[in-house]
Amino acid sequence: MIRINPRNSKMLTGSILLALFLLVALLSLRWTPFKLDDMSGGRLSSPSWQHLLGTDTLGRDQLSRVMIGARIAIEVGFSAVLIGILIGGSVGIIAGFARGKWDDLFTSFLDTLIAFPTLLLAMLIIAARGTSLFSGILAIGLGISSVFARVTRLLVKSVLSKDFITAARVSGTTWPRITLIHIIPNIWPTFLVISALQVGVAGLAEASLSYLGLGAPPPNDSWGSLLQQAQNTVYSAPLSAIVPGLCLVLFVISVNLLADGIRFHFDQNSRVAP
Amino acid sequence: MPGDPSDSLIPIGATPDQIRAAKHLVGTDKPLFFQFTHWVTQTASLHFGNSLTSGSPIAPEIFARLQITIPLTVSAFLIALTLSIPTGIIAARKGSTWYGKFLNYFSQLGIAIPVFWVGLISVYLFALRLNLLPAGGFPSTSWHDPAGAIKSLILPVLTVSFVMGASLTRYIKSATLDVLNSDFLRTSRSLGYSFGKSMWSHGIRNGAAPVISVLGIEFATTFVGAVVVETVFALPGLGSMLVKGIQEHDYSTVQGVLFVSTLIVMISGFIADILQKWLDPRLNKYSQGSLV
Amino acid sequence: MNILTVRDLRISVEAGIDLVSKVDLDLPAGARLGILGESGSGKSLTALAITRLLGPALHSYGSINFRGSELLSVSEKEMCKIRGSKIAIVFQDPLSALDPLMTVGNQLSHPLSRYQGIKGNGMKVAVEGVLNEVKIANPKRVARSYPHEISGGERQRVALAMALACRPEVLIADEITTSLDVSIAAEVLELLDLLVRTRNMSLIFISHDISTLSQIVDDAIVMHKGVVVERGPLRELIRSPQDPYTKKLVASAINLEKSLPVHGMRNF
Repeated sequence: MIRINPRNSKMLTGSILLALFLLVALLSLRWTPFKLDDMSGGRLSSPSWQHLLGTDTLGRDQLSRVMIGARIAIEVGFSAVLIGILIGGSVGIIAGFARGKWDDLFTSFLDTLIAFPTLLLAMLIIAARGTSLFSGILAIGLGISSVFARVTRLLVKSVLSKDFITAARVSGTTWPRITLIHIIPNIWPTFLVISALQVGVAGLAEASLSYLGLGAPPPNDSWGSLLQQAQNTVYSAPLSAIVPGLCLVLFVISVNLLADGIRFHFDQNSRVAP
Repeated sequence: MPGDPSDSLIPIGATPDQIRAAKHLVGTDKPLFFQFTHWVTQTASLHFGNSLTSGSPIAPEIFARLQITIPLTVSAFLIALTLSIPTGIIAARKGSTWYGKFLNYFSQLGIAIPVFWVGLISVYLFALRLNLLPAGGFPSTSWHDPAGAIKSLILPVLTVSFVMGASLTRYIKSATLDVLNSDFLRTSRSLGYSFGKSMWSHGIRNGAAPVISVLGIEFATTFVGAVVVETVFALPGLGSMLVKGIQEHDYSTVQGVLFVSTLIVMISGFIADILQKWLDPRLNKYSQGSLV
Repeated sequence: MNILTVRDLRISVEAGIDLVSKVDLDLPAGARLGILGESGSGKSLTALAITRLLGPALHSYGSINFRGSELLSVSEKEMCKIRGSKIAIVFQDPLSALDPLMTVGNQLSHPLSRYQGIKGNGMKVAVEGVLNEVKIANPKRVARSYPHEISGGERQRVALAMALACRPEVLIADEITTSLDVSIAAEVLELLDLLVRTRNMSLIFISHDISTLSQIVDDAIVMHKGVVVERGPLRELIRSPQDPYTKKLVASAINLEKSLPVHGMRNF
């Protein structure tokens, strides 16, 4: 199967961290220390054994809210990337095969699109559809699609230009079969790396949207929402502003490390001796 | 628009001669400028209408708020660029030293941090705890109070430039590494030029090329970052106008702001494109002496 | 009298693996030495070690003596004086070896002004002159062009011209004909032969191809997996190879030649 270099520490750290988040997220589906409508904790109390991270302005347990935030981060991150892969990937593959004026068309279109920041695109879509968890996922997903489309197109083009494709064509292999056994095996490593990175991008985008009040409404409070609510009370309760942000940063770092690790893993396998 | 500006001049199915003529035309500045001003005057004459919620005209408000958002974006971008060039080069050349590694980790961190969180933390630290700078807001007299305006913008600018700087550092580091390992640098050294001289004659330009190609996108991202950060610092810029508009379903306002934002994004891409073509002859298919 | 003497050269990576070891090399003044070997044999590394252009991860040990100076221990400043004006090197891939963002004429003007003192108005003429020397058909056009706009053969001649503009005493040609068409390669070889002769340079020619070497060098060393397995006059190496690897090389070259109606190797 796949041999993973034990010295690939980036991948290891990244995966462990990410797995941790995943566990917390899954856990939050079933159990959190306190329920979200439980406002018994007293306003803005400091961390205690009962409430490990204190409580918010409504007396809700912060730790539970942070755990839910983890779930939202993972949900949005992975769903948006999935949309990105499906839509962006398909467009990218088609664009990669394009020739002539279709090729020029795709080039101009995709280059224009990628210059457009994902967040702005997402805001556009949310402005149209209103705020909800699904809107957010869709909006960010479409924004990420442009990245995937461009990358996929470049990858497909570079593979198509290789000689073994010509060889396959000459020996009579059909295009669908070529796509399956030549193109996809050659592009999926890079694809994986980009996907991992985009999970982080999606997470950050969602946080920004939520922070601006354009994200998923409660009870789907993401870390971004928590930060927005913490803003007014940051002086008296700094922890409420630090913890969700820290979680977000660690989340993004973990996927980035994972991405680097994956890249390293595939790079070393293709490394040629001097 | 990004992409070859002559594309809009060429009808589909033009002969190679026509294409060549169109591109040669675009090779000079005049038609570009003409196209650009024509487009700008068209849009400028577009009326944005009035806000659906407040009833007041949108265009003048956008104009007023741009006076906060644009200086914020531009200064943050320039500071980020200025800081990231030496940082990226050091990270590339001295990657094995402790400070090189530190810079690498730092830039890794910088791209993982949401810009508004940095803003939040800096408000907490510098404004509330240390009382050095205002926690937010902008003088109501706007730029007529330059000292107050600048004071209000210091933290936001530093916040955005921190995050953008991390991103730019990574690009510059990668470009520097490519140049350091390049064959043409080796050729220059093989002719007897010192490492420094070779970098100066060949390295800088070749290293700048890939960086310039992303400057357009990075500027657009800086702009978006500025828009977000305005909420942290309660700056009456384009960002708060947009957010309010979306929340109140004020479609006219949203349209107007998004239109202007799109315009800014496209202009920056356009300029970056021109810069790139000026620098890299490989993108100009019809430069002198071409065999093709 | 050797102009360049290499003794016990060892090149290793940080991990401790030796890529090249125990390499000895003698280059008398005015002589032509070939380094024969397949890819990965360490021949290019040896050339880079001589000019101290190895990458940062590689370290060289041993003795590289040029006219009495020990090249592995001189300062970088001293080495810069030796590179180009004393020892010049031309690489295999001229497309990546030339600055893609600078015209050919501009790139040529650098060594011309530095080593031949040409400045200002005389530069254009000098550049064209140099391009003529390397037998480029349309010097004006080539001087104006960027590297990607001229053909492979023209590029290699330009690279050669740049190295020669430094007026070196020793020229190292690292697989300079490998990426060229056979006919173009033959022309470049002829050109090299002429230039080396007229300027009285010493030459180290690196190649994996025996027939190419046979047209340009007299003596050769054979490298395999980082060590020298055999050395001597090329004529002898081809007639009676001693080392099994050399035997293999010679045998396959001869087989290739046999399939042609006319023998390609010179005087053998």
